[in-house]
Amino acid sequence: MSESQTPPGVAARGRASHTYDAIVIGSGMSGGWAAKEFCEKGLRTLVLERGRGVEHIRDYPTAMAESWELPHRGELTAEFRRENPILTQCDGVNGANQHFFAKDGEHPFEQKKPFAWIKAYQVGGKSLVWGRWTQRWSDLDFEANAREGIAVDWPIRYADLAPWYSYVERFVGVSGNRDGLPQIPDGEYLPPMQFNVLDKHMKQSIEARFPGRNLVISRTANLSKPFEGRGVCMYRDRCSRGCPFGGYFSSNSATLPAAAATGNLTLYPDAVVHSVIYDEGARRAAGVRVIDAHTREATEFYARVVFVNAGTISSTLLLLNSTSSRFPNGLGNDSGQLGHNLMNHNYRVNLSATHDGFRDKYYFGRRPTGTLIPRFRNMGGDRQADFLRGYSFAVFTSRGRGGLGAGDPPIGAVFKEKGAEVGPWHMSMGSMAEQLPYYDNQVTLSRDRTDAWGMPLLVIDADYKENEDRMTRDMLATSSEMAEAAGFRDIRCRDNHETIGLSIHEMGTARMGRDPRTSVLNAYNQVHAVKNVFVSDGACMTSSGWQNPSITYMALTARAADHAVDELKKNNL
Amino acid sequence: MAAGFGGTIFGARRMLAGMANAAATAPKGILSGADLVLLNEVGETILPATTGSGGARAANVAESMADMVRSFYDEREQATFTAGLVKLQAASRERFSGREYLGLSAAERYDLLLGLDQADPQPEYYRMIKQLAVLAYFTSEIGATQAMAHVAVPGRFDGVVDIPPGTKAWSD
Repeated sequence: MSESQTPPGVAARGRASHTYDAIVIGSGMSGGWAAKEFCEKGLRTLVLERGRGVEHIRDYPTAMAESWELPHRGELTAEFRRENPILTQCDGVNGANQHFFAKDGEHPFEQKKPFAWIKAYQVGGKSLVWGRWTQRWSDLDFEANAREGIAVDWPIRYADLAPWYSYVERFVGVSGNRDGLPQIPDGEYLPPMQFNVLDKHMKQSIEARFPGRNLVISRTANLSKPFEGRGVCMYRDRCSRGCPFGGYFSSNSATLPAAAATGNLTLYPDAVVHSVIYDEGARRAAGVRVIDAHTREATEFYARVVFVNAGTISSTLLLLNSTSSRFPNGLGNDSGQLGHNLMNHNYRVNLSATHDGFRDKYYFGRRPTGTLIPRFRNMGGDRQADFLRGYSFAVFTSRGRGGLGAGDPPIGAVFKEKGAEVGPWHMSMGSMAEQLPYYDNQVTLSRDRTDAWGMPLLVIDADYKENEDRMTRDMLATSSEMAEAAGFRDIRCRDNHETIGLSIHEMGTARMGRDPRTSVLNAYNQVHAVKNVFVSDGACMTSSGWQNPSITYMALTARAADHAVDELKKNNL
Repeated sequence: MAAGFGGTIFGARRMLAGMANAAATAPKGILSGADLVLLNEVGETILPATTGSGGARAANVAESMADMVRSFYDEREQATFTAGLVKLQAASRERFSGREYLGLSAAERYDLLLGLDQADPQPEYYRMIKQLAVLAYFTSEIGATQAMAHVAVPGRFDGVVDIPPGTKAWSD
């Protein structure tokens, strides 16, 4: 990869040297896919990444560190927490992976209401630190808006995306079981990871006591067998540090190397895209304006097609900042919907509990995933009167240190020895709930404040509303009743009232739709009024589902890139 | 969490709740060399060397405990902790006719700490020392690999494994 190069100024090298077939803005989950698809289809492709370069394996400094080798034993310091009050609300951030997250000071924004915008600015983006859960959507999700008269209809259905889910799964490498459940259609899976004894017990108890509810191993983008020459999962459960064994899918381990192998990829890190340049005469995008993250020098790049994959909110920021006399309110914003309908999954319900059984069973290895109770509300025979849509639970079971009993001494040899023995089984359950799209959950641009790169500051104004609160009350009840049915004790269940944003599943703000008057993108993620600009990250989402969204972004991106190349060949772009 | 104790440390919990005070960065070197010697010896009484595994002294828990005091505690907690070491010595002198902790036999040290552990209410400084010693020990190489069981690169996942009573827990 040529990622160490600094982009030269246009004046220095001439416009031709700044011209590519395709420009992809962002190198994360969806940008990596756009790059791979274009490069493999023979397009000279420029990937622009605002963050630093991160080379697979070489730039994973903590990947092999043990707890005693990490600064502060891998915990974040009080000073770090003070300096990053937003980032450190995120449970997934720790001392061993914080170098893969953008610090609060790096990209300030305004909050009308508290919003935790968690960012990962580097080559690979959040694909380095993602949760790797990859359930497909179904028509239960794609048809929901139309069925209920919410927002606008998706312009696609499951049948449109199903072959593209398969296409990306065959490259990503997803471990999973074919469970035959309609709300999580089966895909192209590597062997599933095993249940432990408590998972099996919970599955049995829940499925027997609550018809319509299921517990399955989560489909997860960890390689349960050697795949595509990328290695195999070693069951260390240290994925978010970057995997030196190539055990999970990331842009760095998979799509970007595939793109680079074609010889068609140019990748510039430290390149902040300021805006898309609109050619008023040709009525199409000419290219992009880029600010060097360090020198602040501006330059331009040109291409026949531009893919915007900067990450939901960042993508919309740069579209809103792309103004022209044709588009005074942001590129492609004829509908006035650009920036609106921001969604995020509701992860507010947490349950923890202890089980006294199965003391003679343990496990070997650290499974890097959990089990899933997929959606069961408002589907099949279930109808809820007081909320729309549904939710799932992520379930994690484990046994830690904790062999001490009530009569054991509180210090000394027995305290140490028994304290190191395996304790009872613990279980945690976390909600993953759909949020409806609301017009007034939105991002706008500050009128008077700009950031270090001359971009207007983002203003985020979003919150949960009545449907989410009602669903939260139901999740408190159903998680507790399932834990009780499975024989747990010390069940603690609460609404953590966490700040919206912490699921890191920002979606919407440039939604797909059938009608240019009410949506920003068409059925192929193409800006309605600027056909050579595509947006295929989370910004395109018309509703949010409850599923971890990355696999859907990947499928949408591969499909959009295929369409873009077809249109290029037909000279339609 | 990398070391498996996110949010379980005094102070850290409050910081998680967004209530961290605006205290300046903790000064370096809150604890002296003599304090570190004392902490390793207190740690050794709480988590002694046994047949199968080295103790807190061999694991040098004091160094990690000092780092946690400096890096995780707020100013009030730091003051409670450092004053606590003085109180610990005072408790030792009071109970053992003027002798400080390092002058006590192993049995006397055990009795002193057991008394503090079982006091009602348990002194806050003692609770801090014990918690940090346990955290430091079980995340140390000795604690994680000798007292607990550790496999850095498991290479496979077996969901159900039969174990006898007394099996050591896996460290992260």
